[in-house]
Amino acid sequence: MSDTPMSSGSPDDDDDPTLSFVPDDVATGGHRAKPPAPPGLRPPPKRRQRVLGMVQRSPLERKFARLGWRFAAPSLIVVAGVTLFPIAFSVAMSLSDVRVSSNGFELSGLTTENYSVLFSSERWRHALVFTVCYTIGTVLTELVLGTAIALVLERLSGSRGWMMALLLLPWAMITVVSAQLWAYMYNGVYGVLTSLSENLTGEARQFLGTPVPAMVSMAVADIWKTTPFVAIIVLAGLMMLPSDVIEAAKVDGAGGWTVFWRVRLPLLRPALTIAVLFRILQAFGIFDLPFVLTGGGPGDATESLALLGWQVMFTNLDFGPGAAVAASTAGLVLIGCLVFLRAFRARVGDEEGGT
Amino acid sequence: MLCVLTVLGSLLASACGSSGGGGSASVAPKDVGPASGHLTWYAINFGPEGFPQKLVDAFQRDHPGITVTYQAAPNNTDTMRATLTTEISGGSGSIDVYNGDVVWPAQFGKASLAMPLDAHLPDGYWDRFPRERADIAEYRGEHIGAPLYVDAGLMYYRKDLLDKHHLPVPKTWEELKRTAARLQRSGDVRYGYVAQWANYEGLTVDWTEMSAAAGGRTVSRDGRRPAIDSPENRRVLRFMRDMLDEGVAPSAITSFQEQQSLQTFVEGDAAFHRNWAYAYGEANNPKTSQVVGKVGIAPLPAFDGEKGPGKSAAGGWNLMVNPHSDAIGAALTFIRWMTGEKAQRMLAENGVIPARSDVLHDEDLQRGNPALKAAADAPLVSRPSGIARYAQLSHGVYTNVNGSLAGSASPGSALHAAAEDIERVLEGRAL
Repeated sequence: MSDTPMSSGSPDDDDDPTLSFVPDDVATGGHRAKPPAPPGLRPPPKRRQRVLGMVQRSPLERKFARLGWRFAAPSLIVVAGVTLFPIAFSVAMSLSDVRVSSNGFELSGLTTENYSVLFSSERWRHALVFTVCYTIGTVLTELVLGTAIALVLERLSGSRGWMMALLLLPWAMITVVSAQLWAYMYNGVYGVLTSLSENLTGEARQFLGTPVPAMVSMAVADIWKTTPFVAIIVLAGLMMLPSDVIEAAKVDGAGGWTVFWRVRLPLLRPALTIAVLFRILQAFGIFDLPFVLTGGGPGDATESLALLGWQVMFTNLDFGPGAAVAASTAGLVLIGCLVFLRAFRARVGDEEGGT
Repeated sequence: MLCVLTVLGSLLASACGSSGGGGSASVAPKDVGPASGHLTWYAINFGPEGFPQKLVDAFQRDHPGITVTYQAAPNNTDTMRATLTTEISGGSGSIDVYNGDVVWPAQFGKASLAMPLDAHLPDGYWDRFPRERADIAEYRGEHIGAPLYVDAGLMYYRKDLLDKHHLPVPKTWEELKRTAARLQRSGDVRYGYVAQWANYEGLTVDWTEMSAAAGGRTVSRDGRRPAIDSPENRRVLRFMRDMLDEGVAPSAITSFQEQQSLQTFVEGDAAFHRNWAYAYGEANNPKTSQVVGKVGIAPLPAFDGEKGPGKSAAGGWNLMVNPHSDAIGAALTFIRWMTGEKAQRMLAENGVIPARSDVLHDEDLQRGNPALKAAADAPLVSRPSGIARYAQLSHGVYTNVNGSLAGSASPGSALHAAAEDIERVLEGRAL
């Protein structure tokens, strides 16, 4: 870089269009030197100035910022009260010896005992493996189906609105209610699916009575419900795709498959990333489906981490280990999402660099 | 990160430093206050729809100085426990009296979620209940709840089918299986036997009954060691598996709770059905049942070679008092009225099994209600709920038994695994 640190924003700094009406020379007292644009890149938009990593702001900007904080303060306090405090409290609970007495919770000492109970527990390990496999399996399936549905929807013209409303029905339904519907269909004696399987194969299949079918049945109910969500997000992504790129590819002689795999799908990555991220967060915390459908059974085949945490906390009244389940689950899903974002973002960046 | 640690540190610092080991006695003796004011009673609806409100109305007529609000609890024991735990452990006094499951006293006593009642009730108070029913409301020698109503596992059978084939009511489990299979072969009924074998507390109930019918136990008499891995219990689990393998029990039974098993029975699809006393009323309800007037009640069978009849699991609910209540005086008056003769007769007349011995054994009431007579006569067996960690212990029982019934482990290895799980619970090492 040829410019001085006083006058330039670093190229990876965010541009802030809301503040761009403040001219750069105001911010730096009139002395400015525009950096030459690196070859192959758009000229960098106006950026805020940094000195040794600190953002230098004009008095007007500072005033705006103060005003902004003041407006945001009430909601920030609410967020701190209802989000940060409970999280901090459950982390504190997971690291101490918790007793319930007539004065409420009593936390004492700093201990890792709750976590060592957790990590040495076969039940927890099983719930972890189940939850991870379940998340990967359902999210992948939903992604494939959702993308396929979105591609069909994109082609529809007049009936698209109706189709979307229809598709969104399962998504709009409260999970406990839809799980109850699935429970009726899976019912081992009177279930519609049970008698259907009896007519087809001559033998009444049990959907929830044995481990593997129970897992698959639960996954099917989940996929049925959340695929529309993925489809809508992917559809939104598809609508945003620039048509010129696709036309250019077609002009270059690319067939439908090639256009899809090599042009449209890579361009869809941001939409897919969002869909997958939301779904991972939800699937990892799955509670209502196993709660209604299987109670975690048969045995503990379909016991998810969330169900386990609930049981430890509110059935066994073991608040320390229960909080440890909750905190470790939150930690794991956070790490999982960060890893996923890192991997995907990097590749999104590559694509953009290549186009 | 620093900020999180600071919050953490301050939380820990502000928390009380008292160490564990305290019991229910840690509830400070409290001036119970006058027998007047306002009460909130939290309970799952029991008896016919709207019955708790009828009890409240009758109570308020007798005690004009006390007003009671009946607050309906979600119809799921675990969900109700979760609500109570959050409320009471958070120090809330918004619920004054609540119904507590018969297996809760030890756990709730240990966690100070319910107030010990002995000091506040007259000396002879507990004599009105059957001894074993009052005893299971105790934790460390103190009554944590007052028995409100009782329940017992009973065997329901299709009277019409047994009469048609001139078969006696089975006295042993083996005979029941043979009879059931014969009725199935005749084509009169689809399944032989339905019960609650899903992965939940109800399976521990059914298991406790069948195990007792073979002379087995789940935990040793002193409550210190698992006793589930025994020849008696292996016989029971093998028998349950045989029922499934031979098609006497539907393969769906491993996902049956009370509702599903009852549905199968009232649809006329099962010859025998184990359930609580309320099932008699449901099976004779013309709106929902196909088998009205065709249902007989019997005590549970024993296994061949054991003394019959088999024991019924003790169920039912207690009245418990929130230690944070502002109206403990009124709550105690409410409890004494609810366990008094008038309220208990109301229970019996509405198909709920009363907890008072005198009402339970009242012959006039029994004449009109076969379920009451059967429940009053049934010998009882308790689940090992005197252990404060009973919820985990029960989980160790029902997951392993359910897993074995679903075919994922042999009876021998399932009971071995259950014994290991129970041992971990008793040593305080289980999750």
